Amino acid sequence: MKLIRTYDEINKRIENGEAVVVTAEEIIGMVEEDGQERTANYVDVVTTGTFSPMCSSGVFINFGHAEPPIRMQKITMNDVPAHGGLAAVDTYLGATNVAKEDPKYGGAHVIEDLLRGKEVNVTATSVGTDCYPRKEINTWVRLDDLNNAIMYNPRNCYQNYNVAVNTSQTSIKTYMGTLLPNLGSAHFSTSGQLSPLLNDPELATIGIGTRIMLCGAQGYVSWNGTQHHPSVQMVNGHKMYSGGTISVIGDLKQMSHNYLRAAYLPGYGVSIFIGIGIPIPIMSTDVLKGVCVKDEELYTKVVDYSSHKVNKPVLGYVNYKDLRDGKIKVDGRDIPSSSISSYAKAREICNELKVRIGRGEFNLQAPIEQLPKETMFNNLKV
Amino acid sequence: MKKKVIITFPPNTVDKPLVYSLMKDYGLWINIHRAIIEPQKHGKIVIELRGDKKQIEDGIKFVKDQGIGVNALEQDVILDRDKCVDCGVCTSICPSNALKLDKDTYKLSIDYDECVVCGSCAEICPVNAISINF
Ligand code: SF4
Ligand code: SF4
Repeated sequence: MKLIRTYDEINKRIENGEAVVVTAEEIIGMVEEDGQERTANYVDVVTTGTFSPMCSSGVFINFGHAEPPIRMQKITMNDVPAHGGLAAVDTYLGATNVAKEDPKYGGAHVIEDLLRGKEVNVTATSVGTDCYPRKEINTWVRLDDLNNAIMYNPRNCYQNYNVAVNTSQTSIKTYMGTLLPNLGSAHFSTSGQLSPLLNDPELATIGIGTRIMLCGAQGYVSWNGTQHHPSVQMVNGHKMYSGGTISVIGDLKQMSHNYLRAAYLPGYGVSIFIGIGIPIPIMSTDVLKGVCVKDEELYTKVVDYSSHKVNKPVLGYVNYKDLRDGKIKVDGRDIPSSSISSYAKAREICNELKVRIGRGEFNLQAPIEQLPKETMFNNLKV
Repeated sequence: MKKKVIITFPPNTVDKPLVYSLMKDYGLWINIHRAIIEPQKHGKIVIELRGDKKQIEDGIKFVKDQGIGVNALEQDVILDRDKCVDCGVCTSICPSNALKLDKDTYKLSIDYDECVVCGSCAEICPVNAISINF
């Protein structure tokens, strides 16, 4: 791999306002016109983005101490249970927990309400201890009142994901949306040619410590995501990458509700749309090859979600161009396809990140360590 | 021309032979897409009127004069642009192809000429961006 430029050189150019930054969509046309070599010589950074429901998300919160203090054990926020197993006034509010009284309102909605500046009801109970005598509290907080609200999402940004279909005779309600019977609809969930981990298929530049834009704030890749299990197989002459995931961290107080949205999927439950932008430095022509990938070269598998098995039947392979155009062929049949991940928002995120880098407000952090290549992916024994 | 409207009957008007009058007295061609009519309660029908402009206007005036509500679909099938994230998952669920993502902007639009007010989109939208008064 021939090195074209280093992180330091790119950051110098960002500082001087000279960096050439384009989105993962713009780079496709540039490479078609100028070829890979020439394009790699003048483009410094390519921005990627995604905006999808990502269930494995949540926020660590520190409430501060009340007078007299309480060691919170059973905690709710707007009636949604939050984790009570940390220090006295620390909690983790998971996005998918639901309110006791309203199954359509969950942790994700509390997080969005906090971000929108709304007051949130906090209750907690405790057995009471010598150092934390209070046994109950019922109060209201805003995001500004919290000492810390640190988003930490154990698994975001799936490199590639299934297309969900349903071969049964009745509609089924899944985390991929409501699937119509008899192969009536096909749902997918990625921004394809804009997606961060599909643009860095070998995970050469996205690693632990990479600076990212998380829901509009500066955040970081903190580790590999849970279930991170990169793999590659050949489909229709193209390499199909899948299985990579990242865990991410960032300050909720710096985020924008424009890039975070609570979601309720009927019959499944609560999830959260998370917007992530990741810059990819064009260090080499190999890196450039990754980012100029097009939807028609990116494949994924069609999976029958009417099967109740963990390993569901694979009905075929399709590319993201057909998926995005709204129609795929499975077993010779046309199936209407739609995405639960927003391409419009992913594009907005790529553009926003491009503007920030262009203005010198966001520079690049080289990964401290690569994400692991060899990982385990076991099923749970029963 | 054609025009699709939602007609809302107050409880005491449900028994009026409205559709018959529209056809016979106003010469309109009528297609009922969806109806909820229960005697003694309010009723709603989604109806497509076909005829020339004057016939449609006169027909709608006649209905309104009976004290019956007539709304364009735009007033009863509402897409909240601030809430919609343009995921597009509703597009493959819509039975009438009324929901589409624009080919350039990838933003959602509703074609009210196609919508049959089935309610599926409102039910499945993950962010509650579509509300339907029916
Ligand atoms: S499902 Fe809801 S958020 Fe998604 S495009 Fe349709 S209306 Fe917009
Ligand atoms: S109400 Fe039904 S027909 Fe109208 S846009 Fe929604 S899904 Fe389509």
